[in-house]
Amino acid sequence: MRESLSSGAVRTFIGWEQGSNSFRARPAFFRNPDEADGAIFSPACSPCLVRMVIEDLHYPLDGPDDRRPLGIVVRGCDDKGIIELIKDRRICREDVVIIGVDCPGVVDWKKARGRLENEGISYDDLANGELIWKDRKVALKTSEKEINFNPEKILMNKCLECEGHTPRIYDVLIGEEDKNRNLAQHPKAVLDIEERTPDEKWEFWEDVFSRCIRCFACRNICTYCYCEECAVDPTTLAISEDTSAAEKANRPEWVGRDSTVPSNAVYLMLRAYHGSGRCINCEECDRACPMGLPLRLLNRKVRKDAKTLFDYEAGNRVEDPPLFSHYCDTDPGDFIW
Amino acid sequence: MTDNPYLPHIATVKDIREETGGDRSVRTFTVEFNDRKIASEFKYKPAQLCMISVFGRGESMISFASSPTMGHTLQFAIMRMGRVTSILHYLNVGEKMGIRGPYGNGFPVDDWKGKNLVFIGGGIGIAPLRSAYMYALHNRQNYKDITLIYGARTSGDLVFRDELDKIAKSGDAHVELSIDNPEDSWNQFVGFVPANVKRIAPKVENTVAITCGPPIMIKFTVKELIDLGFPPSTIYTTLENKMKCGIGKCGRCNIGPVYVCTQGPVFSVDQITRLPNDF
Amino acid sequence: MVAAARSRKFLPKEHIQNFIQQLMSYGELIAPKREEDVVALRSISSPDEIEKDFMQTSNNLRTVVEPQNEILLNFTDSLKPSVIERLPPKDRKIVLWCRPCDARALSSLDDNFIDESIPDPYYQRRRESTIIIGLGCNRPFPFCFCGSVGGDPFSTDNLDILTTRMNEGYIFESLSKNGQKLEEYLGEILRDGSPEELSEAAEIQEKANELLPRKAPNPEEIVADLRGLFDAPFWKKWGDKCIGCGICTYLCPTCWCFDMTDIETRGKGYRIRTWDSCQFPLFTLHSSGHNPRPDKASRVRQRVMHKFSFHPTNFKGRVACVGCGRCTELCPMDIDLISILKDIAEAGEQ
Repeated sequence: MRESLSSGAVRTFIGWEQGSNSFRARPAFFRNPDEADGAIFSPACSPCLVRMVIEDLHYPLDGPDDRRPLGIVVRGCDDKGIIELIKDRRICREDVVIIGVDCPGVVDWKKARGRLENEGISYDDLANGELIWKDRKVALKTSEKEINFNPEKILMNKCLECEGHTPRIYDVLIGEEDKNRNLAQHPKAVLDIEERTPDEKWEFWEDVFSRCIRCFACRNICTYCYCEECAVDPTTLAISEDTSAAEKANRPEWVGRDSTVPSNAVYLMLRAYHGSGRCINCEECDRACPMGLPLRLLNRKVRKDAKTLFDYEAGNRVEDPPLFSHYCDTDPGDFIW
Repeated sequence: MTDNPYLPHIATVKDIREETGGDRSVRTFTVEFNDRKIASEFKYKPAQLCMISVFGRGESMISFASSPTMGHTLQFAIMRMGRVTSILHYLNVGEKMGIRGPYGNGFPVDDWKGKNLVFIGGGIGIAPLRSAYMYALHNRQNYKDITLIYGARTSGDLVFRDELDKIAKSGDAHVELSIDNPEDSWNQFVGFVPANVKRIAPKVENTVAITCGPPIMIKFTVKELIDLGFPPSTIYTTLENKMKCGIGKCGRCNIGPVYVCTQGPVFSVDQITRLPNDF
Repeated sequence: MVAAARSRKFLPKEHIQNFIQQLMSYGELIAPKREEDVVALRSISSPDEIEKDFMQTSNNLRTVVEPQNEILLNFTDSLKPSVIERLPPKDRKIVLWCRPCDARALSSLDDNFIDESIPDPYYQRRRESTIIIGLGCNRPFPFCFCGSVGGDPFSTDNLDILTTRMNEGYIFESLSKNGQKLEEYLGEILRDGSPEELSEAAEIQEKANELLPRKAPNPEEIVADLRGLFDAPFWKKWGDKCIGCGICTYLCPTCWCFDMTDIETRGKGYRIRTWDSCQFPLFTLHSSGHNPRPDKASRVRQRVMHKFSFHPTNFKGRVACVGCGRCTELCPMDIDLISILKDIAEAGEQ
């Protein structure tokens, strides 16, 4: 990172810095080589940095005349997000300089918070300890002790089903390439819901929809939600001085501002559908949701359908055309012929 | 006005005047409250604001274009900008709207007694100014010289044109109009409003300047006035911000610690320089 | 924190089921309810729904006094409208076991909504009909810093009753007339606290403040520092990390901003007040396309300055933050309010 910043090859490097306690890290933007000393990569690095590339599209990190590429640190799961952005022509491969890292797994703060007492972690340990990987397992190192964690109890769920520890696209790779990539199986959680009766399904989902507070965190942290004006997010509106009164007056309101079950259902389901063939299963929506809603289930169902109906996987190859943007002779067409 | 400030009162449209055309057309609505008691007891100050409701569509904060000296009916000059205003433009005489108000601080017309008044407007900015200059003209003896300097992009965009010509003819006020680009039958000033202000060079002594219009016009007009020697405390303008509740509770129209809907929209330039650059 | 004059009863743990049932007959009961990983204050229909072991609830008292969806009025015909006011019912509500910081936050909401010249009858009705039973924090939570902003894990502000959890039950202290009335209603469910129980409770209460894990810079100094920091460069640093969701504002106990929209089908409908957030781009967007806060830096600045500068300016120095830590803990990008306050304090020294 130091090198690319000091040579001026990159305008800003997106990485992580230490966050509010030892279990948390946050995105940071490094603009000169000295700042690069603050960059970390540890089990605390849960936020997916691909989102910051999308943020840069709407709210430029640097001046408009700076055409140099962005730098970004990418783990095994994030590369799919970059690939999707390239496929959808939001960025070109040359717009990003990628440092790939070998990631053994990152922590889920919600899980960790529940374990603090059991593991004997004091608030002092929380503030001053250091989270490290030991033999590819997460451990908390303090001045006095070292606490090793059971992966299932501390890692994000996606890490427990990791498809590959290193990314497939990168300019520089730190660590050894993981040759054993395995594609995710159809998640049991989705199959479990598919097998329920319609009434049981609705009971489950109605409860989920009733707890949504429409904070739009799932949309704002998502690696495929890059639309400046979203059809189901009424807090977004892309207008300028030249937008005619008629255009503003006629904008359809698909969803209201209220957070009742019908509105929430429309918002959550439509967002999942719009992610067909684009959701990379990064689990950020689940991580971000302050109400603990199982949002990823909706997206995983759509992913499963994309696979079974169209044999399509998001984030696989840059050359793949986007799922719903192309037509193929072998697509199901019983209704037509 | 009521125990529940969120409840609008129903008013009927009595008259509609098309002032300008085009996509951003302007119409002046003359309305009267359905409830006789409210109509007779309703009091307001020049350039205060009302939340006008089109039920089913929403509300829009519009300033009075009429002066409280003009009787029971209220007038609003509304430019077609978006969702609510477009529907307002579809209303016919006899149809209804909801009104909540009056909100805001209004112009301090009593403080201005005995002074010369110079009103400088651009485009639809003339509407709140009219509320004030009509008040001054109806209380003519309380004010010294009154000057109205008003410009728009084209002659078709000038609002209240006929009325302004009448005022000019009556001699009660000195009227100077302008348009941005030359037109065949136009024989008054051609150019931007700030340039007209510079040319007219209103005298500073015992004078209050009030300006309203597009932000860029206000910026350069204020500059011209300062260059002429007007102290910032004698220059007034109205600020606008997106508003929803109109009563200082929804939290969105603030500029620093000040809510534009309750402590504004009228501010003097020296008050504005003390606000953070949040608008 | 322990006032000698308060009536101090004891609620034995064997009586809790009964206690809850009595509360449910006294009014609508709102209490912590577990929803998988998260505990939230919800309307309770049976005592087993209540979760007794929890840290903080995800939501706070704002859901009770200023609910997310509130119908203001109905209209029956958009063209010949007749407006029907829809004030909330005056039915009594009891909030059981909210944390003292959330109750303390009501002061900021009262500042905004309770105003003699322009009253907000919707808020007022809900506020006046709600009885609040607080649960002190024997051991504060990983992101708490209430002590730094004038609060305390056993603060009594805006509480009708304060309970302190102990091994055998809860100390139960009435603090207001409404609290007193409820205590009388509960009758034999409560007994007098024994001197040992009371002194144990006093110890817990005094120790709790020392257990607070985090400290923020002095808020009075922050208020003073902020005066010159409107254009400081660190706002962009934090704005760049922000993703512009509404979590910090929607889960903050002192936030109150709202939107008003009309919903209509074939001429009939309602006007509804819903939560809104200064972090959304549409919040201040003018119809002309101009936006006074066009980027995330200005919106992050608005949130922090509103709480630590504008609100104190307008309301006798009251800082609109109670140190609950939710904005930091729940922020998907870990934007740390205490770090921002430290940036302000540091910049203020220069």
